[in-house]
Amino acid sequence: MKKHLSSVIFMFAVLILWQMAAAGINAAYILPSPAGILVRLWELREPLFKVHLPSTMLVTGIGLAISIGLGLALAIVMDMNDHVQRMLYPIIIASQTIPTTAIAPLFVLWFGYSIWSRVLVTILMTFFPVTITVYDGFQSTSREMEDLMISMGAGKGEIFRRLKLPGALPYFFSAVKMAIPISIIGAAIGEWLGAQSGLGYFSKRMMTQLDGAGVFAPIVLLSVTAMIIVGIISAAERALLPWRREI
Amino acid sequence: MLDFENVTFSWSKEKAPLIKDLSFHVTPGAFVALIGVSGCGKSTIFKLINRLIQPASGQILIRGEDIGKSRGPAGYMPQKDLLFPWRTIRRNLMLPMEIARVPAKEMEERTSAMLEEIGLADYADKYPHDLSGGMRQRVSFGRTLLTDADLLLLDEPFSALDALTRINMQEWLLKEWSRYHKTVLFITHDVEEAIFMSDQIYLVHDRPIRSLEVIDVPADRPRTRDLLTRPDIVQLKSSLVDRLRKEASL
Ligand SMILES: Nc1ncnc2c1ncn2[C@@H]1O[C@H](COP(=O)(O)OP(=O)(O)OP(=O)(O)O)[C@@H](O)[C@H]1O
Ligand SMILES: [Mg+2]
Repeated sequence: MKKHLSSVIFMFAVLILWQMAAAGINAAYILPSPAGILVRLWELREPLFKVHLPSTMLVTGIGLAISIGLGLALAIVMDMNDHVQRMLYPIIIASQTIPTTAIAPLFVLWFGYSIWSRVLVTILMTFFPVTITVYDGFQSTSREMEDLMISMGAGKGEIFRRLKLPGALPYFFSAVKMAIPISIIGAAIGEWLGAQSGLGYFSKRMMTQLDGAGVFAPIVLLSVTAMIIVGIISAAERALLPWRREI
Repeated sequence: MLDFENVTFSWSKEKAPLIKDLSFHVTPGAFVALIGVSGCGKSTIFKLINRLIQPASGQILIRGEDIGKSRGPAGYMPQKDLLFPWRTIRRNLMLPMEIARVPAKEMEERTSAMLEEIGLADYADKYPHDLSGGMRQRVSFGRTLLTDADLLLLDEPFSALDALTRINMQEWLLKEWSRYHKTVLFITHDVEEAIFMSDQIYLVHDRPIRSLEVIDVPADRPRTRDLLTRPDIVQLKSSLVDRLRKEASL
């Protein structure tokens, strides 16, 4: 805890300044105060926690699961086969140059306001960092260790299972920790562009009502949720990878 | 134990061969040091025996059998310990037996015995980063022994250790060798180490490698470090150092 002390103090200082600035401007639709946002979060708790948070989490969960599955599969085939790697790698990079917000309305055309248009936005943003990070993890394992295993008579499958997979595990956790906030943002953008529920949609609705604190409340909820989930994953990582603790 | 028969090898088609028509023989149970200047191709010879690379022509035999037919024909110990950081010491030792599909019960027993043997029973459930360099090399050597191979290839195993640990490890290794009756081929840069450890020294003396010069070490076993101050041994040492220095300046 001690090592986080300075950042906690800094955050409080920023919040206090913000609170004072908001009091000075005195126009909640331009700059709502932190206290005002918390009050609004409490007032809106029913729709936020019962309808919109679950809706966003559903999209995030499905999008994240598919992204991780897809990313892992792509990373594995690219690692196993150089031809596949040369074929896929540029396409995967190119997919990142597509402006998500521009193409998302097309997804709404395809899938309507069903969750799949939002899931697709989430996947489009998330699978890339997962794929690249896990692929880097596979590539990072030592060539010499591979040679050592070959000298012991190990085949390709054995090398993958006993060297590449455990060697890439730390990278996998990094990928997941990175992917969680990205997929939540992806889901929120998807909702913003076309949906009838979700925190992104709710934030947009509050904006049309010039409710500044109401715009911020779901955003605060989103980032707190992301932090909690990342915290859980970090704890799982520490439990599962004890050998990394003191390196 | 090990035979090279007219082996030729080059790293690429355009380059001149590194090894040309090389034949040599290692007798069973011998401790042989392989010395030569840096970059002359010593590690490449090990890679050939490990089948990480294939010779352009010629044959390599272990116990009279072509190595092409066997799985993991020799036990290889690299310069870096290459312990897997995510495996405990116990599980690092198990690696070669897992690959050879040794039954679980036998694997447990042999691992425990090896932990005693290398004096690290208390460290069984620690991770490699908890151990000192000398301890890690002992684990690495134990892992090499557990490959069950009769021929051990040790590539500068002690070169990363400090001088004192290194001397201890040399004596420890000789003790282990006399217990297990293995054949050892040992690459080193250190002439003194080569003389102290081995029955014969194989000197790489030409490029490409066409033959290895065999030098017998005139000393009985068990040996003590006093050997290194004996006049004929001092003589041998300085002549070998001279040879290597001349090779290096070519
Ligand atoms: N993977 C490789 N690809 C191409 N050339 C290589 C490769 N490995 C080694 N060589 C070349 O082969 C030659 C011999 O290398 P090798 O590693 O066998 O030398 P060495 O005698 O073990 O040297 P050292 O004492 O420094 O370990 C070197 O000139 C090196 O450049
Ligand atoms: Mg070498």
